Amino acid sequence: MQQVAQTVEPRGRIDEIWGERTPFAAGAGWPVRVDSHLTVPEADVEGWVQSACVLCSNGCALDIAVAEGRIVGVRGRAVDRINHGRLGPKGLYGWQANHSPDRLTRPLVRRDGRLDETTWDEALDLVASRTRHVLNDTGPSALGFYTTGQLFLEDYYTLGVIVRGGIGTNHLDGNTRLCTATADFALKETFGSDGQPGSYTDFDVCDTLFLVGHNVAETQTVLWMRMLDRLHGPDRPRLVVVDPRRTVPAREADVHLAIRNGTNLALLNSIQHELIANGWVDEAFVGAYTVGFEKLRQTVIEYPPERAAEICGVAADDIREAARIIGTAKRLVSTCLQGVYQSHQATASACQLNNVNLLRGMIGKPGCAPFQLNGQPTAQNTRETGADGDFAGMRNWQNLDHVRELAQHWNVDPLDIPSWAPPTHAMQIFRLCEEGSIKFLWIVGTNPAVSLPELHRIRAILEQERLFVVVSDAFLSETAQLADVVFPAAIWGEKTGTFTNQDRTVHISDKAVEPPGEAKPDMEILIEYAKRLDLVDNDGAPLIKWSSPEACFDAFKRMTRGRPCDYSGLTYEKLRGGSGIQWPCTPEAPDGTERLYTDHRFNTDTDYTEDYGHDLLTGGSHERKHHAELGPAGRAVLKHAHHTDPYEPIRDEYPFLLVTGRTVYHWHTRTKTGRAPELQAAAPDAWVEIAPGDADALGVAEGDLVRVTSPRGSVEARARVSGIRDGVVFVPFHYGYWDTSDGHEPNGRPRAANELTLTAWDPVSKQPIFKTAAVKVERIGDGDGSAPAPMQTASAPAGSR
Amino acid sequence: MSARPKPKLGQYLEKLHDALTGLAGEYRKAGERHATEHDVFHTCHTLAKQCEGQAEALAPHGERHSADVPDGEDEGPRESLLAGLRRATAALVGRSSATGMLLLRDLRQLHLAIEEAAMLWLIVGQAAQAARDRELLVLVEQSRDEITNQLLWVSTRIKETAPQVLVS
Repeated sequence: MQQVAQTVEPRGRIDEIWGERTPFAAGAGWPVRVDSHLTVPEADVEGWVQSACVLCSNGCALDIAVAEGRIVGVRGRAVDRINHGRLGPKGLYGWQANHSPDRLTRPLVRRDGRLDETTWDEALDLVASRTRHVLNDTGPSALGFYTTGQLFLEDYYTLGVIVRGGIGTNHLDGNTRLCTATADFALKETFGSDGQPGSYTDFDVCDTLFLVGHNVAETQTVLWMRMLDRLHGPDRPRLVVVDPRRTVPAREADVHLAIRNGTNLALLNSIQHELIANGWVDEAFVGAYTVGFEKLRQTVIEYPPERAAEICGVAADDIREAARIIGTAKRLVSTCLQGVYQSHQATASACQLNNVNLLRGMIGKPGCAPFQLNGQPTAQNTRETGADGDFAGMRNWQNLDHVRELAQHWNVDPLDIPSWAPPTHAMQIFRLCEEGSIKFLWIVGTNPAVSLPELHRIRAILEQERLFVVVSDAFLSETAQLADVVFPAAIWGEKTGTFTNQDRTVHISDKAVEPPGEAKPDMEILIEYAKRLDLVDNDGAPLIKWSSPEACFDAFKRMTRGRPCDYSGLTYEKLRGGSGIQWPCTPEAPDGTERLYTDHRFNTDTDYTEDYGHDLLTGGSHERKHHAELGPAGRAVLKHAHHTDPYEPIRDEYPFLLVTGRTVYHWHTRTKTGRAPELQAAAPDAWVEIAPGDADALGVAEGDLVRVTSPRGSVEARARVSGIRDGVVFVPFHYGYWDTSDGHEPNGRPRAANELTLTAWDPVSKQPIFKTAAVKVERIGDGDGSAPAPMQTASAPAGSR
Repeated sequence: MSARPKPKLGQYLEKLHDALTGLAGEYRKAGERHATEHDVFHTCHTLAKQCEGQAEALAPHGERHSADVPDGEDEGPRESLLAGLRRATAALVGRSSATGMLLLRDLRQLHLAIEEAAMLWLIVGQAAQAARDRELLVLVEQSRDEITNQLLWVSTRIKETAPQVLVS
């Protein structure tokens, strides 16, 4: 039952971030509301081209409006299961970056220290000859590739086959390591493979929401609209929020646990303690469908609410109340995101979220699911195609049969595919560049010179003479400024391809306009590179057998047959015209699959599983024999771990805990959103959030200039006195230097949050830690009364609604 | 709980205690020496604490079996001058590929030291069963799990390190 579609003029969607409410009751269906933004009168639009938004992991379907060969606006697709027509502020305004005058339009090569324009032939020949030189001189392990979560499935799969099947290096990862690696690993640890168990429709029918470290109102605005419409509907779900900041969801919550950052695991252990102590465990389910309960019980028994309260810095009664809400839920949806993934003990904590739903027997049925959410729009595809730390088709790098299957699909020798160790993670790739054993690094569509931790170190690595750096990007980012060769890339709207959101919904994104100048799609750049390297298969035929995105998609889907992410029933044609479709989509399930594990049989058979699992404390990789001995054989694995202190505890010299994060108006390092006038104006510069009591103690007033310093560097920005937890400061990580006079590094005022963060990562997912670093804060100058921070959202001044 | 003290078991508890405190020291040294391998640094310090925790938990059992197991010992300041020096050296040579060979050597040596502790836990565990020493058995079970995971970690890290160091 859906209400009549109404078109909402999105004026003021900078202020009205989530638009008007369309409340609904469980099971009534989320009403349609079509959001659009056009920069020309609608009558001037010459065509609408189907796509989906690439400015968060939600994947809202939209149509791109085209006039005179340019994008002139977007409109949400009413028919789509993800957004029912809605778009968020980034989706409505962010596309304007496509036509930014500073797009890269020609390849660049470094000559005498300067980047000069050149031809495609010269740039590609240079990169290919450098590759051959390194291969001959040292071998494949001296080459590294660092990609993104912003390309399309077809770009990633081409990259993955070239790197793993052709060049044969293990050093391929995505910046998805920074956003989504823990989701991937937590799903593998518990359920045996990647793949979101639940569906967005679970939000429509749940009666309880449990959000851990997930500021959904800013990170996935349209998913929050969906939740908000339930929260304002006739049968409001109960809401528990865990976040050290007073986020918008925290303000809507029945219980807000503003824990000290870095203590998720202790809290989740305590909630499980309460579930067990109060008999809120579905024992029949746990007995039949899980393994590991006894060890989990022995671990969580040590976390009564009083102990967790002490570790987490919240009231024991609030923990009890949160556990009671979760323990008495009938249909529980739990979610987590960066507050969990970017803290230490990330995978251990994320697994406990899975445990909560398993203990309650709430998975594989409507309204019941743990969601390990993603950060980026196409992060899921790096995981499926093997362009990150995974093997293509969710195959297990330790399972020789799986490696052989890949070798067959690619017609290469299994020994040519590096499978002697887990694929090298991003932080280790940079470490190998630092110590000199990687001599060639190709960075595709990402900006590590702003987004990785401890920036002075990252810049020093990229600046080395002995490291040859290739960058493919649409703009001359801070990272591109340090490259030896820069390829101008076509982006969303300028090429055709597919991508998959965080509930497994696959969308097609058709080409709407020509790329500017000589910019090319990444897949084409990579194929040109493979040709120049003469990469061939066992029969001497070209390794890459496709030249169009659709042919690549067809090869990919054959490779996924029988694996968890089975695309075999999907075609471009099927994806056009209607809604996105959830995988697995097979000839047997041609309309896709709404929920996984409806029979409570998980992907944990030893022969089938994507991963044999890890020790959560050290990240030690289990081998086949360990997995076989555990013998989950289709049951979910209840992982357990004890709380440990963060790697960098606060101390006298550095008494504050730093948490970095994002605002609703920007995406990553603002490569696109900083070039969309409405979004840039909404959050034009960095700021530092500090609690009122801490601000008083330091003599800091709203808008004063403060310096935040860690053992690694400092940031100077204006203070926003906000509703953040005492003792914690927040700095958004979006702001680098490309739009300052400094270029790629701070010559004047340092403002990138990652000047402060530490080089450390979760032992299992290898996700870097952005949520716990020790810092000090000093007032260094008067302000003009207000920080350049949004007046609403989690950044709102203290005392706001 | 258990009946009479077993002085020969006590001797093995002492050996185990020494092995664990020695292993903790090895972890700290390796961690400092490879401070630019950030995961090695953090994991080694975590595991050093784990070994010290095991040694501490052994103390009351040692007393019961009349062994001379020190009940916690003065380790001196953890951020000692020496550790700082090792870390500074690590930072200086961190840009050199020679660190890879050193890392491989240190990981191998750690592996041997963990194996020694694992074997001693096995021996103590066998004796604890025969002595029907339930309290000790609980500690043995937990500690052997931890030591197994330590071995798993060091093997995993060696698997990752060896190909890069030896072939590239």
